[in-house]
Amino acid sequence: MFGNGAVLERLDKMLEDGINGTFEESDYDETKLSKLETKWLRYLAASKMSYQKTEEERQKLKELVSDISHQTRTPLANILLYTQLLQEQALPEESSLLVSEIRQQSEKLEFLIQSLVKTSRLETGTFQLFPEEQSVAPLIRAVTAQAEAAAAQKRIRITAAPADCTAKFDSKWTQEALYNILDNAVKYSPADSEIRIGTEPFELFVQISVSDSGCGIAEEELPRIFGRFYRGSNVREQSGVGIGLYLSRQIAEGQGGYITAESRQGTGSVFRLCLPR
Amino acid sequence: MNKVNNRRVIRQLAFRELKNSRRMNVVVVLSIMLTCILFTALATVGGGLVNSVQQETMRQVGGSSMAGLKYVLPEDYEKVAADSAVRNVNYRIIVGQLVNGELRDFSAEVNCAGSPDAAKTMFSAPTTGRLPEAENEIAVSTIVLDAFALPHELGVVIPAVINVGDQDFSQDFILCGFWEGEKISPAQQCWVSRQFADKYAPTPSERYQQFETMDITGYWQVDFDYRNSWNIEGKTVALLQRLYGDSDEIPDVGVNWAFSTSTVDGESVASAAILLLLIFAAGYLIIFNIFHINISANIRSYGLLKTIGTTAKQIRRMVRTQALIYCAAGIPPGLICGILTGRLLTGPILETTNIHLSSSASVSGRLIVLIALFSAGFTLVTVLVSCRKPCRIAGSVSPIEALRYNETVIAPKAESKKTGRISERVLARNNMMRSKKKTVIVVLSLSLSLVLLNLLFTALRCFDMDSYISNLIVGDFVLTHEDNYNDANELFKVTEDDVAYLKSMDGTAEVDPVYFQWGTLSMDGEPKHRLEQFCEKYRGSAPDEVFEFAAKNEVDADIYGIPDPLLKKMEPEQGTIDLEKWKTGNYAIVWMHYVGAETEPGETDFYLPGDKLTVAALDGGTKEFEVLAVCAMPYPLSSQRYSYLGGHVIIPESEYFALTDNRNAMKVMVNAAENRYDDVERQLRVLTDNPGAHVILKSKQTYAEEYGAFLNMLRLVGGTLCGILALIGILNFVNAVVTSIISRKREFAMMHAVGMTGRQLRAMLSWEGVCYVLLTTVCALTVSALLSWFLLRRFAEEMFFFRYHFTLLPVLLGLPVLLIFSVVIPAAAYRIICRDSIVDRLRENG
Amino acid sequence: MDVLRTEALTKIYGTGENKVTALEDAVLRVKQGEFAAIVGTSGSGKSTLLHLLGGLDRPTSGKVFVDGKDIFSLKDEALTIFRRRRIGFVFQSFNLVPTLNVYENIVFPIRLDGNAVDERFVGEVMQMLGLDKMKERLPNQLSGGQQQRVAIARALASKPAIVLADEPTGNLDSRTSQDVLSLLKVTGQKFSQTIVMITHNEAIAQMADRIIRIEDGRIVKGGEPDE
Repeated sequence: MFGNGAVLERLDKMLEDGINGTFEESDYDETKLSKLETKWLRYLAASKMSYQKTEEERQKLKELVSDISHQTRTPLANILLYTQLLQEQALPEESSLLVSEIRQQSEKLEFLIQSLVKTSRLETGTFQLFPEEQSVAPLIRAVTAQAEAAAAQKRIRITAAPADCTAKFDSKWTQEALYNILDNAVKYSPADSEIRIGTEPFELFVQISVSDSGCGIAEEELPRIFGRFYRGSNVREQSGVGIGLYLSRQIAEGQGGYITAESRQGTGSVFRLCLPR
Repeated sequence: MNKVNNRRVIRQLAFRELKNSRRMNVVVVLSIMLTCILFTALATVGGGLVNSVQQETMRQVGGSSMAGLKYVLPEDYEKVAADSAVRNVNYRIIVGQLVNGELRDFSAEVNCAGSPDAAKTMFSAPTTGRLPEAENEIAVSTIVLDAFALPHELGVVIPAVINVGDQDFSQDFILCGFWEGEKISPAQQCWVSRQFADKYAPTPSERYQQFETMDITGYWQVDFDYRNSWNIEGKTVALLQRLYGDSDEIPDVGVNWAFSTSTVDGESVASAAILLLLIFAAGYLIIFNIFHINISANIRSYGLLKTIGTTAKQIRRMVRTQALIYCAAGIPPGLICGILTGRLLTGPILETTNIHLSSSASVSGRLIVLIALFSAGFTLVTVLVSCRKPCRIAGSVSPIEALRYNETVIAPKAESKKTGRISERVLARNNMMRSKKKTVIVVLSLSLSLVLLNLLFTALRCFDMDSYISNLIVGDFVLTHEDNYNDANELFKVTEDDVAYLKSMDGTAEVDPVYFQWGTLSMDGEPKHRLEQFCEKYRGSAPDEVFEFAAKNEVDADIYGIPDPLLKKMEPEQGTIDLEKWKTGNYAIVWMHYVGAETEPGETDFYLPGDKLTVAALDGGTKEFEVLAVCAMPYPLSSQRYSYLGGHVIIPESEYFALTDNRNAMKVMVNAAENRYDDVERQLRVLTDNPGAHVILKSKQTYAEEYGAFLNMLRLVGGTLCGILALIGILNFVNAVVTSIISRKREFAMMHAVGMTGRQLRAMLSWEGVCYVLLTTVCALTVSALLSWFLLRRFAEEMFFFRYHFTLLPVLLGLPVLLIFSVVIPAAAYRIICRDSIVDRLRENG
Repeated sequence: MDVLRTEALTKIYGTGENKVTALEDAVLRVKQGEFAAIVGTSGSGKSTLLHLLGGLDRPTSGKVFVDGKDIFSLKDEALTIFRRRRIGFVFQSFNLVPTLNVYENIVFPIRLDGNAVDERFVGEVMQMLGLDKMKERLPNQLSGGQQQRVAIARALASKPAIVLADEPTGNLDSRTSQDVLSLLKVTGQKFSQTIVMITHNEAIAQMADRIIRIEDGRIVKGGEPDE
């Protein structure tokens, strides 16, 4: 019925359809090929099912994380509130120190949970990125303003070079991403230093760079800093939970851009956020 | 089996790559065309010759059918016609012969044609009128009409006397058709109607029996063809076996020997093979070279193709596909040009080889198809063979090598090179050394045409007219018998009166008749002993009768009687010609020969000076002579007939007359006095230029003209061949130079950038050209000299009309032409690449 | 899972006095989806390493596994076919087939394999690389950056196990380089394409997830991925 070539042709088509998920049995007859088709369909169905199962489990896990974050938010807010109330009362010196420690840890926990919520939302696709072409300057202005307070505390100057180019990005999330980078820079820079924000438009991409003169990151660690909960070995004593850069990277990649980090220990780091134009 | 289907992309790539290399395309297509032209021209000439000889033979045989059954019955015709292996089956019915006195010079058969085609295959189809239908109608050739002295008009009455069986009867026929007769046919056909045949020559019911049935009247002759002319005899035997099995009724068969003579002899096969090989070599050299160069130039792109996953096989296929595309473009025009060239050449060749048939000189359509197929096939094979190696090279390119390829293979050298003076000349020489292989190929292909030209030139120069003509004629004129004769009496056509007339002519310096008579020599004593020894050695190389005859101590001898002045034409092998002794009449000059085998010099000298010799003339006396010298009669004055074992005995005129009564001379040599050549010729024409003339005149001048035509033919054919080869060589040179320049574009830009001026670059390139030419010259001179000395000189020694002269003139003459090319082409090519700015060229990749 | 793995890869050119060890005992692993940069000065052996990784050259000793397959166990012809199916190349000098247009260049390796072109995928790749408007153009009508983008598309089109990039921006000015690298990075992210790039340029190497340093034929840093 089929020549050898025709059989191979048919097999090739079956596999191709299988890969594309459009496979259907052609005909039922007494040929081996027909038997093979049935088997192939069974295999496809099985693997599809197992894929769906894993996917479902993943989804469940994500939802769990999301639920935990949500459900912990209110109690955490309450803890914070009560801690504040407690602080306003006259307490013995020793207790006041403990209360302030509780408050710090609670704030850290709140930040962590907020970041987790954002990440899980991004990952589960609850929130989607809507990149649109817009000017980069407002983004930088907004982020700078946001970080100003923390920077002022350490007397750090943030200087932004004028940017008059446009890129395709989601304004809200990109702000979040860039802020995380800038916040990081502020956190790890010594007092009285400068942080420069530069913008360089290329033909296809716009690159926003954030350079600090902080302690820098060792080369071996560079690939890891965008991982979840990773923190540099020489910054452990600083506050932070190590999820900011991970989030930033997710956001950048989600809209067709990327982040790179360049650093030399002791002389500072440069983080670059590249956005497509 | 079940290969993935990727041919299309490879084909597409092959096409695209071609589109991008215009210059290379032109060169390759041109060279394929030239190769094809050479093959086709050769095949056309060869085919034309074979065809012409075949046609000529058919006309001599009187039929174009391949085979025929003789003297059969209609039932046999039916049998043959039903056989699937045969075609064009025709029959004619034997009626009788015309025996009118007017027709005694030739035979005129009377037959009835079974169909118009039957007449056509006999070359006897009426061109005016038609075949006879009524009983009193007849169709004959113009030769028959001329013999009857009748006008070439339909309706004339022919008073025929017909022999049918054993009786003659007269009948007046009305001419219903005629055609141009063939003089060389063995018999003229006269067609009568079926009605007439049935009435006077009814078909017998008895089968024809050889030796028993003497009368062939009324039997049918059935002619037919096979699908092709290969092994006709074998096919005929098979046919008879099929039709008749083992029955004893197997009829006589005849096979047309025109087809067997068309099978060429070993010598011409060898020379054709050598020619084919030469053309093949020339084609191979250039096509290989072009592909090789092109692949070197494209090696990076092949490497690239390999890195991105093109397999060696696919690359090979791509290059092969390109070759095939080139063939498709080059072969058809090559075929057309080749056939035209071949036709132009065939004419002169046929003329000089004495085949004067205007109709057969043209090559038939079917033959052209064959020739085209043959040439196309050969060209294709040449191209495919030529591109095999380059294909392999392209396929075996290693991807990273290709990424850094720049035509040079860097081999670690044991010692570092000394830094010498850098001049354009040194640079040029180094560049040549960089790709030795390419240099060798270019030099070889350039040399090939030069060497051939030189060989041809030498061969033509070696032709010695005097020695060539001396073999054909002695003296200024020879009056002799007709060339083609069947009657032995033809040998004595110059009568006593003629000789007397000749001697009386005005302005002659010499008139020497040669008399001839057959005779025998009876051997005795020492000569007999020598003969016996000779026979012992060569028994077996000839039919036994020859030696039986010799055993009786009698051998054939031509007896020549000559006047004294002719003695000076004799060049004795042994002994001296002593005029005093000669005049006594007791001496003879003798020469013996044997044609059955190749003999050692002197082996056939049974008689040596001083031996006694007894001669007996055919029609009379016997006389004993003493041998004066060993010497043959000069060929043009001899009888030009040889028996297996025989000799010449030359004796004085007076002694000859004493031996025989025949007073007619065989040939007469006439020499004109100074400045009287034309006078003498005019007087000689009186004897030869009249209708009843029985003698013909051969003159030195006509031979010289014939010789000139022959030489011209050789020049034309050889010149064409050399010309095309030279064209190929030059094309190759141009291609090599231009490619090397273009592929080094970037290198030149670099040199330019570091301060080498355009002038210096051009000088360097020209020096490269000069290097090629010098190498070519050295190569061509050496090879030519060797070939000339070892091949041509030997050949010349074998041929009586060759006088060997050593020459290398053509090579030396070719030198300046090549030099001009070598200087002009590189400079021109350089100018072309200079159109781009240096920066562009430096930037360019690959 | 390791897409690419080497075992004590050594390459020695020449013999005796002229012996040059271009690469010595190189051990390297690259994970699925990684973008690794091999950095070294010229003459450090990085090109040799890349050629060996891509099966363009054979090592003196040692092995290279691509997708678990020991590629040097293959004969030349088989290796070539393996290369066009499983390895994509991006060269410094672009190396496009000059006679084929952009689209034809991109699908060339697929067509060499006689496969139907996955038009949707190729279309997506071309769109990402901004090539969808120049499908019909010939390489010589493109700028260097555009040519390299075509080369990247060609490397991606056959969905190889790994893309090897040899100084992909070596022939480009710095601005174009940035774009081309960005595209390489972004397309790599998008299709989870494993990429190994060699460069001598530190700034370019920063684009990568991991930097493998090579000096004098030895891998001195970054040969193993982080777990």
